[in-house]
Amino acid sequence: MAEKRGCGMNTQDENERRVKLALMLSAEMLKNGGETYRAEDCALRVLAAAGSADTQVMAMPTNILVTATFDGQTITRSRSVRVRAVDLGEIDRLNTVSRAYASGMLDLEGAMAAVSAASPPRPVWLMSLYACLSAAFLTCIFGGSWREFPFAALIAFASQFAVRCWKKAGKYGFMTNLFCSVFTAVCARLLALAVPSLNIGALIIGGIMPLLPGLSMTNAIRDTINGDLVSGSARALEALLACVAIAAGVGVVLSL
Amino acid sequence: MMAWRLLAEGLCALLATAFFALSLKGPRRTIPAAALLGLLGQILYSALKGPLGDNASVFLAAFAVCMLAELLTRRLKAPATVISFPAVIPLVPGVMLYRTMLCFAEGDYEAGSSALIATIIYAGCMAIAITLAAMIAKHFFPARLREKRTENDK
Repeated sequence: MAEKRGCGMNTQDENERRVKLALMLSAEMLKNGGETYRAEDCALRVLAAAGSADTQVMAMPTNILVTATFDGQTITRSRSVRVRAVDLGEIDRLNTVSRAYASGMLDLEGAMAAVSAASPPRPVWLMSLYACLSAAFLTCIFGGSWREFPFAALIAFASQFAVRCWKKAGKYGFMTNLFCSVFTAVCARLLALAVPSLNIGALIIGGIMPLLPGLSMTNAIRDTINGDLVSGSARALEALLACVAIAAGVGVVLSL
Repeated sequence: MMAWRLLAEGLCALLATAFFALSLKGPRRTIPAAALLGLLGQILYSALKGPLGDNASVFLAAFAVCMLAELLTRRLKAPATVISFPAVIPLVPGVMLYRTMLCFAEGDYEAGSSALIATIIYAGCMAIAITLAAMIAKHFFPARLREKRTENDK
């Protein structure tokens, strides 16, 4: 399974590069919303295939630490993870790359190139359109009717478009959630003023569904049960803060 | 009448899940599976809500969805999260969260606190169901399936 070791002067370089590949894979996994254990598994799998005798990996939502031992020589490297988002396509792709490297289908160079090659960016409007249609259908489940559907879609499109543009500018987190929920609630109240028969609750619920930190909440509990206590509590705090931001935004507008 | 309502909710959940997966850039091949599981979860939840109550029904619905997602993982060669995360979105307690916010916004802290605790318990049931499914899959599903798959790929 393990690829042939480079010999002579290049061995050291080669080993450094293997550790780098493991780091890149798990850091990208964390960035795109992968579970902590999956990020650790990726690094372990890659280094085991590369021939490391003893591998220690510690992944947290904010950084990752990898120690590998090749021929009695130990290499420890770390990398910090600053941005976090959810991208299911990337989780799937990175998982495939790590398995392909481990099973020998990809060599070191190929795997490195595959990790760095980001998938082509999708247009912001299209992603917002998908999110807003999803929000509109959720509105229908949560007490809305077909009358609310177009309005919910409209509000969600505007707020999702704003979030995604903001994310591109590199600032994402508490403030985005806060402004976005304020925006959604204001739009819903204005629409309800114009069309009094609308169910304002269903409109707001639909609009905030795409913002809710569903993945970090379930990941938090999963990490804690798995024994990754640091990641679990960090993610729980992240999810809690996001919920507080959304609730505060909607609450302020509703109490006006 | 009841059956029609279930079906309509299920269809909404199907479409909501499909678009949610698309908006998170989910891989194309997993989207039909995720959407169908979204439909299944919503119908299970709505059908069981009457006899079993909110918490037990969301637990069973989320558990069923995630177990099936773990089974499909092997077939679709994608991590389970990619399928199960969009599929449980219709089960997220949107209405309960909204009610909590509304109570706090109106200054009714007593009703707000009880709504908040109900929401937390509901979300906890959901998260435990998801985690339980993942743990069962990890420990009891034959690992050899995975090895075989990589052999075949070569």
